[in-house]
Amino acid sequence: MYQKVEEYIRDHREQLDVETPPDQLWNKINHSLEKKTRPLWSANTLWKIAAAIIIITLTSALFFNFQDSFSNTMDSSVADLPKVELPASKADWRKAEKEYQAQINGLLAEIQAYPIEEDFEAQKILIEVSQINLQLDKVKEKMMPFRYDSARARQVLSLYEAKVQNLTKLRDHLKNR
Amino acid sequence: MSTTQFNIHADLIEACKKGDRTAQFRVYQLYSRAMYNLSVRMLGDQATAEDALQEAFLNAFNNIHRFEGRSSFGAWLKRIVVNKCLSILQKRKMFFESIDERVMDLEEENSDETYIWSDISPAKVHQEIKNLPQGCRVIFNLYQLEGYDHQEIGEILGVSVSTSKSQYHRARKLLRERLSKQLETQ
Repeated sequence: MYQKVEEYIRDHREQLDVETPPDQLWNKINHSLEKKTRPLWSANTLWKIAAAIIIITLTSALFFNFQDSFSNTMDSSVADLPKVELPASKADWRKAEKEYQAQINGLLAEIQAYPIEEDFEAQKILIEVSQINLQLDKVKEKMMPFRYDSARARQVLSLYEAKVQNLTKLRDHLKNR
Repeated sequence: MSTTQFNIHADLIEACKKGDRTAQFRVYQLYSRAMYNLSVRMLGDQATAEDALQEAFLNAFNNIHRFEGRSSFGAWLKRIVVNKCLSILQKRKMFFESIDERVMDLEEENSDETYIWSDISPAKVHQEIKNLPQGCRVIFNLYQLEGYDHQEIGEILGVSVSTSKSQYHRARKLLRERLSKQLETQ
């Protein structure tokens, strides 16, 4: 005989759990756990990208060294790069360079959110980007430290512009997949 | 009290810490029913309770490395579930009205509850707890079923001890009235 609710609940505590959670609830939890533990880029893909970058770096290095040994002229490989306006002073050029770098960082942050596993189009664009990086390093290396080397300054900005265009293309491709 | 006495599923918890999905499923099987019923009683409806339980289990598995075994795993998990339910309820903006405790005490003394509690099924009690108004339902569950005292409830919900007590009495009174009505119509 129960006098009060407190006594009743004390003696029926387990029996009050009358409802059963739906079967699909574990599936939802399991799915969310899998999503969290699955890496965005698999180890296999990362190896493929790393291998591609190494091959391109070596090939490009050989190519540029070969070119340098025959001429001191500008890189002919950047002839197809987008046209950009040359800033009037070195300070303005630095500002433009910083703006490009910020834009690139933003795009890279967006791109990292997408997996590129088995996406050959995305890998192709990434390879193009790594080629641009190599050219950028090369041109920047040749720039005079105390003089505004307008020809090479323009090349650097053109390369940045090309990089932005490629990364934008990659981001849009991943978004619209 | 020793840590081993608390954790009868220590091996299972260790496996969960390593991300073992089978162990996680076993833990889910062990605790989901009790936690689901707790959520349903706290929140009043099954759909919201499912969401709360899903998030609570995910939270528990993702933070299981923080479980140090100072309490039982069930108590640790229950706290996560209760906190999840409270955060959902907070978004609904609960209001707690303080009722004069002396009036409630008088009502308690004058009532004869014996006949209700002798003839009612646990399923009906569970259903009527779910149907209680939100504010007093939460306090009733925390106090009567989950073992919180009025001081703790006051701190958790940001209300005074007297409000917690008066809402508890209100829930108790409503529960009694509604169950009596059901018995009369049977």
